[in-house]
Amino acid sequence: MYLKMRLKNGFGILAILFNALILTFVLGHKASAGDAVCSTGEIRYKYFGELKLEKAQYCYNDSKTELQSQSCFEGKCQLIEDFKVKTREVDYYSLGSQYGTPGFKLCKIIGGLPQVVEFRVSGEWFALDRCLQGSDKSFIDTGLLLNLLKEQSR
Amino acid sequence: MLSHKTGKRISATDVALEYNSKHKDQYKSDGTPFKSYEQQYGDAPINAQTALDNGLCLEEKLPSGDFGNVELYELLKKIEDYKEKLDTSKGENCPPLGSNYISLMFPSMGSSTFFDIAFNSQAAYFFDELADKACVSRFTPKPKLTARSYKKGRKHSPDDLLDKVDSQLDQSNIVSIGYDGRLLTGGGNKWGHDSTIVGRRTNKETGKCEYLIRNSYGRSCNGYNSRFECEDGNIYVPKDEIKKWIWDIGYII
Repeated sequence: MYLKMRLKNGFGILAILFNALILTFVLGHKASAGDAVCSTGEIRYKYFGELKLEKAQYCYNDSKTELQSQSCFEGKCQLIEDFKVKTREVDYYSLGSQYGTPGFKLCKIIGGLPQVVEFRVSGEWFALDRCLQGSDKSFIDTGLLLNLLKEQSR
Repeated sequence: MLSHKTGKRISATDVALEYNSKHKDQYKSDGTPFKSYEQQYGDAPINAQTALDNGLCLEEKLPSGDFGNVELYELLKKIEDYKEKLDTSKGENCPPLGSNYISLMFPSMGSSTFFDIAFNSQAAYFFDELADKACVSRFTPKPKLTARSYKKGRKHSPDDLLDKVDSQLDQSNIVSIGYDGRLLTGGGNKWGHDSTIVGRRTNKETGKCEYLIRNSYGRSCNGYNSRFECEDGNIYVPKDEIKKWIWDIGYII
């Protein structure tokens, strides 16, 4: 029994380490590939009918189809912590269904708030979906989040 | 497809609600809408035909955009609270709740009309009645438009369906495609999904014919089968791949 528990715990710790390794690799990969830019910029979205504008430090790729808060890019954000804990049992392929979008579903599983936002780069606005963790305002675009889960499911 | 064909921005929310009103199985068994309301879409050509039969509503009358994370369930709870306050206020006026919501979601509707519908309609018909009120002036395109749909089966092989897709693309018409969602994700269990085919090309490297699929998941290319080229959320999928997963097609003429 004790051995079983130790094995189980050992496996759990290994799984967490493995997940952390994947997250660090996937999120940091863009930086090492040299195609991510981090800067302080603006994000806007509609909230209860009002257009909200906020300043944030974020990182994006060349084509502006990936976005994450700088804290997540550096692997130090609550959203990633929540992701590690809450997606252990989530199968990437189970998110596809006739209703809703996989990215929004994943975000809700993590306990984040899915949002359609626009972020500004060189005066131009780019639309993307993001998953926001309210406690530290960290975020990752829902597509990138799906990719994390896909990598983790492998 | 409706916006493409009419040249006007048609309310996607209205199309979905019209579909739902004809397919009440989209509601829970007790007749109430889903708790976290997601716009429910069905088979694209049937959707389009249902909307054409009932008249189309412009996007400006019933916007389909993101409403800042509005959980409709939360709004409904607010309405209930508001109703209770009204019932117990003994004539005192309570400030209307969520009126900025309402003007955003239903630009042509005053908050009093909204609350009137909220208080007096059955849960299952709440959104239908809101949409009907918001889209009072529906229009029917002229000349008349009709949705055509074809399903894979004994009558139509995947090749037949793709011939029809090519024929429509040749006429600058876009086509809806229903398929097994594993086409997009590259694995997992079978699930149904609809997208639109908006173009095609010959891949210079492979020499294969590829269709340009426009999906509804936004600009991100992550999450899709990495074998496909993707730009801004639009995916180039080889014809022979589509042939494996296709279920049905539809278009408007």
